[in-house]
Amino acid sequence: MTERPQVMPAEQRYAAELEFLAAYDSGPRPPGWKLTPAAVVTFVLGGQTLELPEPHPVAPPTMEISRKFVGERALVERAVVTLAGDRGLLLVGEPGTAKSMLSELLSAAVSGSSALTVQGTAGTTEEHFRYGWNYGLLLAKGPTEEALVPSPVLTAMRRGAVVRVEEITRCLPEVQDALVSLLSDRRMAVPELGSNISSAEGFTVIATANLRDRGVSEMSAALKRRFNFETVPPIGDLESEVDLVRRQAGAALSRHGRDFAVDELVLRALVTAFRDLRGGQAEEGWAVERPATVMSTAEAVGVATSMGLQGTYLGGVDETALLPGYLLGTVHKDDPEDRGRLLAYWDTAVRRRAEAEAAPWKRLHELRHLLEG
Amino acid sequence: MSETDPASLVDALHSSKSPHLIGVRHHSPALAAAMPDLLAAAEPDAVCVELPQELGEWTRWLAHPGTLAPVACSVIDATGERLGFYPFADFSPELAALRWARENDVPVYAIDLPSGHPRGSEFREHDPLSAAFGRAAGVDDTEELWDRLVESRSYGADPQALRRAALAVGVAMRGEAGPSEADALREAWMRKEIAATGASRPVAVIGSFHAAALIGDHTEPDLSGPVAPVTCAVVPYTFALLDSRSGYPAGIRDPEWQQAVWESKGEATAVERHATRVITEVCGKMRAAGHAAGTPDALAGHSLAMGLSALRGLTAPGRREVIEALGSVLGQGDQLGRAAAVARACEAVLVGDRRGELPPDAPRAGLLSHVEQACDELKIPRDGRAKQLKLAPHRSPLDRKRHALLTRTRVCGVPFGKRRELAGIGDQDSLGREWTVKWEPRTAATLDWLSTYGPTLAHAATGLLRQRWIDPEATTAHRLGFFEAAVEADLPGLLAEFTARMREDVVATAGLPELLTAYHLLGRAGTDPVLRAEVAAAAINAVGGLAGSGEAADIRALAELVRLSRAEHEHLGAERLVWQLARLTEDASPPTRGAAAAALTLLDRRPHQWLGELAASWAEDADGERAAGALRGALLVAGDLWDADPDLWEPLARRLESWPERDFWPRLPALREGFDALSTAARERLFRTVSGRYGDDTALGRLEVAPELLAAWAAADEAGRIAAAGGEDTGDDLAPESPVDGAETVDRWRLILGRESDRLSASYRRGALALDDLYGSGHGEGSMGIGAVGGTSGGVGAAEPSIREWAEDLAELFGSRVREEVLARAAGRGRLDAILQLDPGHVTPSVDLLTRVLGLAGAMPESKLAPLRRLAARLVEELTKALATKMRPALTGLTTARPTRRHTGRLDLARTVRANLHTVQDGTTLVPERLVFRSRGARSADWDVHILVDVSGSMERSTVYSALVAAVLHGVPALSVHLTTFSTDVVDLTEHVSDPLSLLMEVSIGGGTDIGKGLRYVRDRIKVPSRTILAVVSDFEEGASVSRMLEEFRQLATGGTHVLGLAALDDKGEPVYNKAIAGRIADAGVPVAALSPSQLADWIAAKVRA
Repeated sequence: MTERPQVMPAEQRYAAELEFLAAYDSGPRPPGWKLTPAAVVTFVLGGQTLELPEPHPVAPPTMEISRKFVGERALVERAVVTLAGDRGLLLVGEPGTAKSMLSELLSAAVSGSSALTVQGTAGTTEEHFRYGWNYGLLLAKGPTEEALVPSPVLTAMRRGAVVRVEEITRCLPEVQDALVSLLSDRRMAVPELGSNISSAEGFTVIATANLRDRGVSEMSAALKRRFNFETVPPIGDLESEVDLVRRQAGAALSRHGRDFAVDELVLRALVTAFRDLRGGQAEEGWAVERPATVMSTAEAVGVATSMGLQGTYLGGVDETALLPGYLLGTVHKDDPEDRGRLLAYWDTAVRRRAEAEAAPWKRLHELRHLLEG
Repeated sequence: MSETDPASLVDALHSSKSPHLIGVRHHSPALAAAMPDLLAAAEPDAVCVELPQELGEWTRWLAHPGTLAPVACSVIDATGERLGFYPFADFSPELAALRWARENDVPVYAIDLPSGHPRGSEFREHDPLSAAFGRAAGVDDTEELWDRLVESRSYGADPQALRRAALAVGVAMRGEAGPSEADALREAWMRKEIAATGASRPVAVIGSFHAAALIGDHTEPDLSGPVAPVTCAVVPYTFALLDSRSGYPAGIRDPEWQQAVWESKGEATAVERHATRVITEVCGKMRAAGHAAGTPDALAGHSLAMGLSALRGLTAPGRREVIEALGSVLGQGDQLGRAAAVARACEAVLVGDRRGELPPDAPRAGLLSHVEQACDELKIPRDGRAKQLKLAPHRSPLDRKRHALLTRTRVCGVPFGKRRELAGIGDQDSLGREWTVKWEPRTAATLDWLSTYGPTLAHAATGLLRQRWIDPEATTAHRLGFFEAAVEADLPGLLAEFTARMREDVVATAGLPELLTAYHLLGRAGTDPVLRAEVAAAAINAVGGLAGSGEAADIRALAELVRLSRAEHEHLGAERLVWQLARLTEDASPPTRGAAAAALTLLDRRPHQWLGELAASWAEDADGERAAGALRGALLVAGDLWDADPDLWEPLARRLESWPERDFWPRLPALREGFDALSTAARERLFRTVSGRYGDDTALGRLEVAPELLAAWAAADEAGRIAAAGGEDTGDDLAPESPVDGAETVDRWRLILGRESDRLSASYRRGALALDDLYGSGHGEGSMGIGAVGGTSGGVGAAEPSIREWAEDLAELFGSRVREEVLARAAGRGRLDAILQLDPGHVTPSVDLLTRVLGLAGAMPESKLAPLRRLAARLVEELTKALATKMRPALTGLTTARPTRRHTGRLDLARTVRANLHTVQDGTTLVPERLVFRSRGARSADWDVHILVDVSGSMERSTVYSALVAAVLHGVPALSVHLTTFSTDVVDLTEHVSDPLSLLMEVSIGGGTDIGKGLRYVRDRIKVPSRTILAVVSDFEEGASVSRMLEEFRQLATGGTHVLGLAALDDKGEPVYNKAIAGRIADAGVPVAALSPSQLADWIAAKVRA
């Protein structure tokens, strides 16, 4: 095991909170669940300080549940209720909207582990969903239980836990369809061993899918009907997004042992520019041309982190002057027209804000030449 | 009052006896169901309701047993302004109170401030409870708050506890701030009125926001004031209008749901049953719309709704839980397709279509009398005879009012006035309006029926237009029509609404001509300059979609846009326009390139000299079509500049001077064609300017002198010049050594501009005659009269040459290649027999020629069709051969299987063994670490290729190419090809695929564009979606519903079909398309591109092999 892993899984990072919540809410739990549904919702959304109703031998009397997922409460409620039902949960949305984070939190809260994950790629095969073989043992000793290498799905079925399938639409259609019978019959047949493995109570699937991308295969209609779809929208509110970017970039920089020192105004300008270009409408209501690239929150965090790192390690940089270059790099990925769109944004919204003498927009408007490259 | 803590205030309100307080929200099923119990418990001797005093006598009609809810009361003043509007349904607590009072013989009093009071009309339709919610809670969705705090906890609750909860909500929302000045006035009036009833146990049924004002001591403001007379009416209403999304005031969401909750009278199990029924009905509606939604989906929806209500601590699922459950279970994350269908189904089931009725003896509604009165005032005749009215709305206010009234009746569909369109000059709107009015019995009947939509014509027209705009099936063209109607009918409130919605409803899907229309309409309406600027920006954006166009209409739209940019928005958007134009000058069809270059000059981004040089370089182009096209484009946009600035025509003049005969003659037809874009008067002006440069003596034409003499004179002149300059040859720079002298250059200009053919020298006159035959006297300004072209023959000289002679002339003068061009152009201009002169054996096959030939096919009489067919057959054959050669490399080898690592189930044993030999240890055991499989080789005719072609425009190159490509693909064994054309009708031409000529002959051009219909047709014919390729060749100017088209695309894409949108299918790759709509199609998951046939073949092959 590594000394200090770069990213800790949710069940380890928030182990104390999970323990507290298990003691806090002693209501009925769906079969196989570690927490009650209400407690799961509280865990995912966070932002409260709770007190235990009666003293518990291990858990502390009060605890602050940290904010994790920034979004609608109703969305989380629906996700939790779906997991308690017969269908799987499919989180869809644009890249960078924290779908994977939400699925990790949900699985950590419901079954105590987010490690049972299948990463979907174009090279994913049925073995990743069913089982594989240790060919050496198979050839040496023939088909036995020992030679079977269970997939995370099979492990989850046996244990009654939550299995996460990331980017399910990247798998080839015939591979995706392996899930169809699993979700309806909840049973896997292993003909080589002559057995049928049924799933234990509490087995469910959380999948994520990214709809707006290349290299994505469509899900079959039969598979779609085994899932409840929840669209995870980008963050609706400017303040929350600024807050989130600051927090996450700060966390990333603290791993380098530094403080997050990007100027607040520049950070706001960065997030505002991202929101304007993402939504096609400026905060003030003017229309803005949307570039073809997705301007996600995760990307904004990345840019903020880079700006912070540049300030830290290369020192003495003017952050405002960095911003146009970073924006151009983010926007101009596939379509050459996107540079024109960014220029158009500069000519309309940024210019108007500069005319209204708002800092740092005035300076940014002067730096237009950096975009023309 | 602010010192009292809220809890004790609520207690005080709850226990108050005189008056006994029942605080309500104006539509609340819980309170309406509990109202009879509450009133029975209170045993009142007077029931006071929060309605304006003038409506007091109408309450008996509301409570009448023959009245079926929903109904509405409206109050208007003398000028027709609406002072108040009060809809009622079964689930309105006030209506429940009125009914109880009637049954139990308790007198009813309307205690609110009279609408005719000077302060009576403020904030009337604005429910103060909602406003307070908004202020206090910082939440927009105020209805949801009441739903959560009162409605959803009401099942099985004790009525008194419910009453207390409602009063508590009112207190909380009233909060610290207290009422506004207008509300304080109303509350004071209510207090006065309750006291004035003289009842000992009055009950007050009022909005719970106001409850706190009716107990305790208050300062009494001055309530005096003249009460103006008002007109009241009770009209039947509908749930569709009661729904708060209809735009009518004081509505509530999903009336049918509220009705069902009311009917369950507070029982949780009844509400749950109803929720189940709603979910099942929505699934049924989805099935009817063609989406898969069966019983398991309904079950999943039910369990999600019940789970949500349990999690949220409710005893029965509420409206919100049901809608969220349906969205998650049926929506499949698909905003454009299924989710929209789910929303529509929910709306149909939850809003419902109930319509109210009034008892037969109730007084009739006011709309009819209002219109009669208005007509009499404005002197519009109502005597049953037809009368013509000529109106000048711009000059006379009376005429403007009349025009507004008549437009409003027309918009409402009332058969009263018919308008005759007066065409204006050029692009201007006509200033006058002519109407024919006739009042018929039908008129009165329709007005009566329309009273549901409003008490006055303005309200009715507003309501109807708004409904039509909101309808998702409305197209951009329709909406612009509604906007214009709103301008004409003088409805400022509606205009403001439309302007607010213009962005998402119109700008998002309009093409360039529509955007320009919108721009002009916004100017006429005089609203919102910011929006106008945005429309201009969107128009600039749409310019990119014109790249492949050659149509004069598109070029003119571009010219209009440039004119607007110069005149009005010099700073905003000009950069972007310039950027677009710069790209178009490099990469577009010749007319667009020329137009873009001229536009750049007009915008002062390039000097005139640049354009002049460019024009000269186009003239030098050997390809006549390109030269002609580019010149046409430039002249259509900037034609007026040419005679004004010598920088523009001097480079061309220099070229003309420098060309020897053999260079000039082949280029002449193209130049003539290009300059024909100018009107006759413009050409005349240009000719005058140009010829002036060469001096007057050239007007005499050349002298007929013997060549030897000319040579001797020239030599003498030359010797003299050298001697005069002192033996040095200075070499004059300004007059370059030209093989052509000034007089001949003027002649050449005469030929190019088609002027003064009678002054031409003999050798040129033949050429002039040949071309004048084609171009006639020109078009536009000056074509009738200024300087007859073609000489003063008047009976002398040969008759008009026959077409054969003409063709021979052309061959002699210009060469055979140019002859083909000119003949094709002649055919395009209507000289149909010209095309027959082309010899199939020697013609150069080109798609342009084929396009022209086929375009003529419809116009030809039967007898002439045979040679045309031969010509077309030859062209098709040659072109298909050329195309097949280009496409074949991509399509070979589709049927063979290739090795791959992907698990396809067919092990390629040899390759596997070879790949894993390194694992062999003891000689017999091989561990298959890496497996190699065989990909699925396509069996013959395994894949279906559907080509869907848009034939609503002219016969495009893309259409011809589609037919040729279909023919080539037909020859590939792995593919089976289907070709379908659509405009507003869908025609399946699959049986002609093997013979592209007959296919092209069958194609009928023209009509509107209904892409959704074409897609639906193809979708029904798809057998195996994952082995089907669909290429849609269109310009995506959807003429029917855009949302339906997007839904179809989405359905096809999600079904697994490989769909591709082709904005152009030809080897030049210059698309003409609506960029906004194409962007939305791309967002729906269908790529849109402009491909050449070989690129398309590559794409198809890649899909098949994968």
